[in-house]
Amino acid sequence: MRLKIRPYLRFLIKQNLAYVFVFVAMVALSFVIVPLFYSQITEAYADIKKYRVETSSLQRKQQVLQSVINENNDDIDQDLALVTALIPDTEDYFSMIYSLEKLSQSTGFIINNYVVNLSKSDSSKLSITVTGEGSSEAFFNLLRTYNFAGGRLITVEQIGIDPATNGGISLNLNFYNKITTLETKDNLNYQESIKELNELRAKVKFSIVKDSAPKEPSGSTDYPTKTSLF
Amino acid sequence: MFLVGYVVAFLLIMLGLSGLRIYQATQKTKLTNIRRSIKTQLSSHQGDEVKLIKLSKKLNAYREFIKDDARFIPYYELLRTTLKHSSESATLTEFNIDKSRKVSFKLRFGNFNEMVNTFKFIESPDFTKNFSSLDMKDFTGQGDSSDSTNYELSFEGSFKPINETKN
Repeated sequence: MRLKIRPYLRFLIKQNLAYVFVFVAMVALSFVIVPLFYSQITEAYADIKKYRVETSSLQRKQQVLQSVINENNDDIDQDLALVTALIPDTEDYFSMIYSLEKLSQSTGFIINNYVVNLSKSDSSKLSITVTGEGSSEAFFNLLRTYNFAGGRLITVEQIGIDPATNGGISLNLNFYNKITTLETKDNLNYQESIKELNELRAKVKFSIVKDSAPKEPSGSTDYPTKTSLF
Repeated sequence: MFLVGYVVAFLLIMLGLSGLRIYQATQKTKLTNIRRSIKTQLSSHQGDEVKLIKLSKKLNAYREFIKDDARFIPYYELLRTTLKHSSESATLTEFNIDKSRKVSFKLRFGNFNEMVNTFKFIESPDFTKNFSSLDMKDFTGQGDSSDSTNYELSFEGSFKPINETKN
């Protein structure tokens, strides 16, 4: 059956054909342009969000760095030398022996024997059993200061004493090393580190820097050495 | 009218979207410039930053390693000071502590009454507040040549952590 269009309607379409075309074109255009804009705007919004986070993180880092550098510029090298001496990048036996000698001298507790416990050691810890003798006072001096007085970080996992005992005392001392990489996966808090350093500095009885400490951070071998062990 | 309205609305939407895009582009450029500027400034402090990274990492390692320490002196002094409050005659004859703060100690007395008084004090909250657990393991009485008896009390337990103090 043939479709009949009323003459008035046909006239209307004929008169407004241009407008109808414009309308259809604009509807089609809006179906293309709006989604395009939408995807661009969403993408740009995500970028801006990411940039804002990065900028804010960089600004924070800059402020912290600036403030730490302004407050501690002269001390950073010394502090780094101090902690590197306490925990060197790699283990070296000479600094350990030197540390034991220094500890012995500063406390009056005579360390006359030491044995490396390889079974209790690992890549970052070296365990040494030291045997020594001295008065109770000397032994207590050792117990008070062994953590830092030798210029190396020393820990003792277990200590047992009989206060009446003199001489022939054994202790298992741990020495540590840790290589530092510049990867910053960990969230490092410089201000907290500086604060902690101040506390650590107060604990270290004998300044590594004033004594014969390495000037360079990696210079953990800058201690008096002997050409012969004997 | 409808068509005019649609065109106006379409143009307004296009205008709005274009404006938003321009604003976004400006923001991106502004942020990029700020980031570039900060990165330039940071690169001038690269040497100091390297030192600070090393310093912070060494301190992180220090925090880990120091956990291995038994921290003998602070706990020994704590026990001695606390005991002094109760009795002058109690002698600390043995004291063992490890890094997990597990402790064992022995007290010797030359007098039964002093021992009883000290024992009462050890059971009191003033003493036990320093320990997360404390048990008496042994009790011995031994006569000596002068007809007096020495009493010995052995304890085992665990100290509560005390704040970091100077060793």
